Amino acid sequence: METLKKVFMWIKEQAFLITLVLVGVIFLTCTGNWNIYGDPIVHTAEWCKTLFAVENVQEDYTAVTGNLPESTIQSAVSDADVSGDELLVADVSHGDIFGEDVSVVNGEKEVSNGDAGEPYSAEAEAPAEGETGPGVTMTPPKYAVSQNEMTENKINGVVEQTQDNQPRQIVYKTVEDDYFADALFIGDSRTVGMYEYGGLKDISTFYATTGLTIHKVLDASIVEVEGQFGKITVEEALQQKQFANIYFMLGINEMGTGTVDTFMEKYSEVIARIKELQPDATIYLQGIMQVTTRRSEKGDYIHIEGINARNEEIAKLADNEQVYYLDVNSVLCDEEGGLESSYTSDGVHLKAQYISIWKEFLKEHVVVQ
Amino acid sequence: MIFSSVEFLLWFLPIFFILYAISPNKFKDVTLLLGSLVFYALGDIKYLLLLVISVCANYFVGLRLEKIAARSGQSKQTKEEIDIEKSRKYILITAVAVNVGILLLFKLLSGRIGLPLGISFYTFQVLAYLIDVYRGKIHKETNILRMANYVTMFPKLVSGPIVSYDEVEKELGSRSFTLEKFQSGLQLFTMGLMAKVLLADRVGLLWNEVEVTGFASVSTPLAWLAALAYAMKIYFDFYGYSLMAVGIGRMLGFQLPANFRTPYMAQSVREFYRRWHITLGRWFREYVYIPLGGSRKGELRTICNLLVVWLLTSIWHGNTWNFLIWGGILWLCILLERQFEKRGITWKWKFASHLYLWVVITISWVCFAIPDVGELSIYLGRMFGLVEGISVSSGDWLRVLQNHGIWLVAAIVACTPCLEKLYHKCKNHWLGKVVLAALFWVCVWRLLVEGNNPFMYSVF
Repeated sequence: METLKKVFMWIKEQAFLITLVLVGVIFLTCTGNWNIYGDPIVHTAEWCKTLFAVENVQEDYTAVTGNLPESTIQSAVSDADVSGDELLVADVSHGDIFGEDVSVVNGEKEVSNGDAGEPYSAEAEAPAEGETGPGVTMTPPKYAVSQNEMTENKINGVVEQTQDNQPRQIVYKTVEDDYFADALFIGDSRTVGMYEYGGLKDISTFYATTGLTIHKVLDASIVEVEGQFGKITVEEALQQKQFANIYFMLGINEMGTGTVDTFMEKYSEVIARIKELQPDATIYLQGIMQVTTRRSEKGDYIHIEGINARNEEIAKLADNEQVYYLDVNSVLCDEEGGLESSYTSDGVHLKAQYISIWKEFLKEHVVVQ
Repeated sequence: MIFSSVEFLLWFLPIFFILYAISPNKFKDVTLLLGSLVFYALGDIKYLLLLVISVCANYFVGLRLEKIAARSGQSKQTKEEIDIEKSRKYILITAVAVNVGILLLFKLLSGRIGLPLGISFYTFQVLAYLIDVYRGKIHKETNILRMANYVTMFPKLVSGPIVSYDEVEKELGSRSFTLEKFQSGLQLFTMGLMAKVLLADRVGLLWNEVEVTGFASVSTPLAWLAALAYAMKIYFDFYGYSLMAVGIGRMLGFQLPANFRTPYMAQSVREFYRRWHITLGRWFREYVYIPLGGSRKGELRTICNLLVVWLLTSIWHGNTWNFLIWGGILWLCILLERQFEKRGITWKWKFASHLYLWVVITISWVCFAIPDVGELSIYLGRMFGLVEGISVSSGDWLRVLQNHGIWLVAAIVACTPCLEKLYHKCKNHWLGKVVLAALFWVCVWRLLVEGNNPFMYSVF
């Protein structure tokens, strides 16, 4: 009995350390994160192997497609509540632990040596899409929308090449803000910026939240309904209400996972579904807004080439009858193809005062049916 | 490598302490040194050599600086003694000049090349050692291993606390590695980790949002809220980091000094900076302010001495103009406070003095936070309604409060002594320990999910 009591006392004394180890084991197991330990060991072993292999060694870290190994750490957060803590999983197993960059290009694993360690900069940057800003919940304006007369519209003609290289005339016109009364904006935190500072808060409908991805967009419970307490999903909302124009911009959050192909697969699925649910709507697929060259050079999964690659594919989805492609990057980027650095503070989001450039672009590129 | 990162928490810390624990006692100093060098290399390998050179060079200088004890009964110094005194003085001056010169060089160039990790801290560490040996406050350290550990020990290498040699002299020679101290230190470390990850990083998002929006586009209430958020962020960031440093020190068997003493409870700017980054403040007082005469040579001289101290403090923090504005504001406030105190003018109500402090310090942090003076003036202009806002979204502060308000409130509450009191009450109870251990893993989870938010002070 004495020894039992002593053991008990000892356990209570060391309760912190004991709990630490126990909870740690439970945590790592339940969230499937043992690869924190596993991956670097595996990567080091692979690296050693490649030192002795002659073929298949390429120093270049071709990150064009932004591919990453399968073993990205699973998000420990349940995907359900997007408007709460929507998070992009930071890819710790990316190999940065030992300064290696591992990329999967064309299905083959290639390893190159990155910098052993960079001193962390003290720049306060808005954690791009990895931020945990809770989604902005937006009340769509009252369902009964008054139709305003359109004021003078200018008509611009633009010749666009389609995939089969047969020039089809897409005619754009310029509109005023009230045109967007029956428009829907779907997007991530950049679209949230449009909501906050675009002056369309009371005019258009917004289904947008920080961290939204193509994989979650239809099931995201972010739409508030009048008279109802909970929120409904975007898919449900699209079933209930018809819009004349839908502006769609997603893609920056997904760059840390998957490939351009997996992204486009889901993207096409989603657009097809939206077409189904909104047969009379004109769908504008907006090319993913670029990032600054500086942000792109940071060396993580967000880079200009990757965004361009995805935009190229998104453009192919436009049929120029119901679905059109708009590239706001044409008015927002500098000569190097990156977002104009004076327009942004963190390299990813437009500052409030420059959102109007984006809005003006949309206003000047309304398709004449 | 920063403390609040998955790499440190799950790799470096366990591996180091396993190795440290199994090292025989005589070998522990070597393990510590190697661990610290590896730690530094993982953070900034290109300047590892500089650190090593600095330690070695200053070690040899220290050997030559030993003060010769005055022989009693002798009224006149021999020529030999005079020569030794002279050479000691010149050696010190040279050593200080070289150390400071290198630091200044890097500070000036830090726009183009990065600042070596921890250089501001370890340079001050070394200077403190040299000056103390010169003054005879401590004896020279003849064991280079101990000297190296004093300068490079990884808990304080990157961001302090700046420790005076006599605070760790005994433990450098012999310390004990016990389970009790290990656990206690790790508990303290966890408190620091929580302060950083669960408070500083959360409340910092408010400030980040405002940065992203663009300062010209924030409403005045939001400008104040965000400034307050920054004031909270920088505090819990640094306070958390300091707690983690002391915690690891304790795990190793050292007693490192505290850096913060609920500074936001102060009632004047002077008091604030006696409670904020205490080890830096005392360094400047000990090695700059007092040698210049302190406050003992009349008010005018005191004002000049304070100016020198604040000038140096500003430069120490950064090489852009905004830091001078920051230091300047604080210097002015301190002057005014001294004058008012002399004339017996004080706040009528205690509440007013607290409000005064919060307002002034918050404004000063804005100057600290924004390197570009143009942007800074826009921000201050928005705070005081002097600058027209562009694309301001009305009610933006309400939305921000909705999203982040709870963290701001939690942070403000945590500025009071209640948090520390709570900790001291619970830390020895087994349930408290269980909860704390669970919270450790909550922090790890947050870090995994959102990537590591780098500690702000790690470029100083």
